[in-house]
Formats: sequence, structure tokens, C-alpha cells
Amino acid sequence: MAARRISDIIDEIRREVRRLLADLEMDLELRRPMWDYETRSLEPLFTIKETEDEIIVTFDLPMVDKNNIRINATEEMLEVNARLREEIRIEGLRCVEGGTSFTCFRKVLRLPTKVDPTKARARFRAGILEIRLPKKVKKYRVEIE
Amino acid sequence: MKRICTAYKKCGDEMRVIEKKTLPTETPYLISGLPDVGLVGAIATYHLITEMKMEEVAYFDSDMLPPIIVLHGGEPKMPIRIYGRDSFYVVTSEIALPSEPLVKMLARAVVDYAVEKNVKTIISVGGLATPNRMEIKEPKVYGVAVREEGKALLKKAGVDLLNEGYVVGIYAWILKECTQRRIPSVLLLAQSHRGYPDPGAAASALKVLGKMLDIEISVEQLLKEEERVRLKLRELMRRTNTMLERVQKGHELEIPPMMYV
Repeated sequence: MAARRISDIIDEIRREVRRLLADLEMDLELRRPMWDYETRSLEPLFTIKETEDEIIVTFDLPMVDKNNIRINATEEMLEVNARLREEIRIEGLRCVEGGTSFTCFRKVLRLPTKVDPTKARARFRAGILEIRLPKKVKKYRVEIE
Repeated sequence: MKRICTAYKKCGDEMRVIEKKTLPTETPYLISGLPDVGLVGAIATYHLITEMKMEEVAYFDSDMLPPIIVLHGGEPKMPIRIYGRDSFYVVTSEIALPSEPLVKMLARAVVDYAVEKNVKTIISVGGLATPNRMEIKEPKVYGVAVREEGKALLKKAGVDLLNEGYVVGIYAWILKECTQRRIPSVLLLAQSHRGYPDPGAAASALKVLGKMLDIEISVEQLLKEEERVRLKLRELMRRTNTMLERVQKGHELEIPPMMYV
């Protein structure tokens, strides 16, 4: 068997450390509850996708009507507040005797890169909110001589 | 209660099936709906169990499982259970499996149980991550089949085969076990949101399942309660997403490299 180069071993260790850190980050995320008793709010599921020019954020907002969604954006942050059509009672929450009712979804996100919030667009279809935020730093095409 | 089979016994790890009762039928079907893309299988089996008024017949147990007991009506229950009625066994789970070894162990235990029960065909229900799901009103269902019996079931329900692509996660393990052990098997994959619970996709899969098995499955209630179901399954979906990330579920969106097959 060919001897492994030191650089290969270092690369492997680097990959493993990266994987362990990602796992740790996911574990910490899972320990956070998806509800807040103080504000009676639920955290929605969301995804962030990055394209060349845009950050596309989607939120799953069931039991919400379009008119009850408020979106605020800055260059680095995105905030979504959405009132539920009706109060939702959730039983079986640990720490809250007898369960409690929730009235809205709320989420504040730090965006992975700076965006131009004045050019953001949003659409809401079948309970899914999609927000497209153009990146602030645009790439310029370089011509080949 | 009796312990009827033990799968994957290695280094002290094992998945056990503890049986409470058995169905009188000799050649049943086994339907498996475990947390995966869009929770399609889990939602479909929760609905099927309620709709067909099935009763719990067994549960899976392992020292490797997280220490979780689910309470329903004050009664403690194991989170991964088997329900049954007439000639159908249904495997469902209320937790996402936190590690890849557990996924393998459960897949083998499901197939072992099916062999023990002389199951005709194992039918798994899952989701097919579809980027433009927001635009699709009625999700289409594709199929993967092991052996001719599986293909015949898909043909009977008019399901198109998924010709190219990857299957990753627990259903890949079930298909692998069935292929190696020559057990007829079908995987139904409904177009679905990747990271959000998708009752619409589950309803499409259930309609196909009904056609395959000649049973009436009403999805009216499921579609009526769609938004509430999505809201209540947020946390299971979040855990499932994390688990899928770990088993490299992103593979399913890739194009397979074989050029001439």
C-alpha cells in the first residue's frame, strides 16, 4: 500500500473537524425550542438558498393569510412576523403545564451576505413565503481578449 | 408480549421487535412510512392508521434509540411502532432516527419482520424532493420496484417508474435488503417539498396505494387538515432535515454518472 502523504492526512483531519463542527452546530440548533412562551410565537421552518445574484429565503407559514404577514429587511437581517388565522393550542409542551396557545410565527435571520433590501421581492403561495433579496455586491462580467 | 426477531446483532447493537399480537392473515402487505423528505411517508401512515382504525401490534426497540417515550392519551408508547388490520401491517415512527447506524438497523429489522410475517410485498412511501413544488397542485407519484411482483403492483396503479436517479436514506437500505434477499418491494415517491411537511404529497401517495391494494382510502380529512398538520409537524421535520443532511440526502438531486446503461 502506498504511503499516505502528510498533506492528505492533514486534509482528512480538516474534513473531519469540519464535519464535527457542522454536527455540533446542528445539535445546538436542535436543542433550541421552536416556540417562545413569552411572545406566544412559533418559529417557522425556513430555508436559505444562495444564487449568484440573490439570497432566496422561504418560510413555511401554514394557517396564515397573506395580509397578516409583515416582512422587514435590512442589508444583513430579515425579519418575518405572521399572525395565525386562529390561536393554536399545543398540549404536551414540557415546562408549560397544560399546554399553551400561540398566535403568530416569528423569525429573525442573519443573512449570509449583504443584500439590497429596497429591491427585495416576495410572494406567498399555498402557505409558503418566498423572499428574493438581490445581493449588494454584484459580479461584473470580465471580457476575454 | 414476545420478542420475535433481532436484526443486526453486532458489537452489542441490535434492533428488537416486541410483538403484542399478530394478524390472522397468511400473506399480508407491509407498508412502511418513516420520517424522510417532506415527512410524506410519516404523514401517509399516520393518516392510514387513523382512517383504517388500525391497532398497535408491535414496536421496535433498541438500546441505541434515544431515551424517548411518547404519551398518547396518557399511555406511554414506543416511538417506532407497527400497526395492523386485515391483511396490512403499517410501520410508522414519531421520531427521526438520529444516526446512520440506526437507519441501517431499522431497515434490516423492518425487512426481518416482513420475512417473519411472510409478507407478500413491502411497500414504502416517501417523498421526492421537487424544486418547483410550490407550482404543483397535485403531486405526481413515481415508483421503484424490486422483482416482478413489485413492478406488477406499480403497473396496476399506473405508476411511472423512476428511471434514473439516487435513493438515499432508510428506503435505500430497505430496497438493498429486499434486492439481496429477493423480497418483492415497492417504493412510492410523491413529488414533495424537501424540507417542509407535505400532506398534499402524502395524499397523492395514498391515492396510489389505494389503487395498488384495492382499498378505499379517503384523503378528504387529510387535505382539510393540511395546514394544521404542517404546523404540528414542524419539529419532527426539523429533526428529520438534520438527519437527512447527515446521510447526504442531497445526493437525490444529483444526476447519476452512468452514461450507457
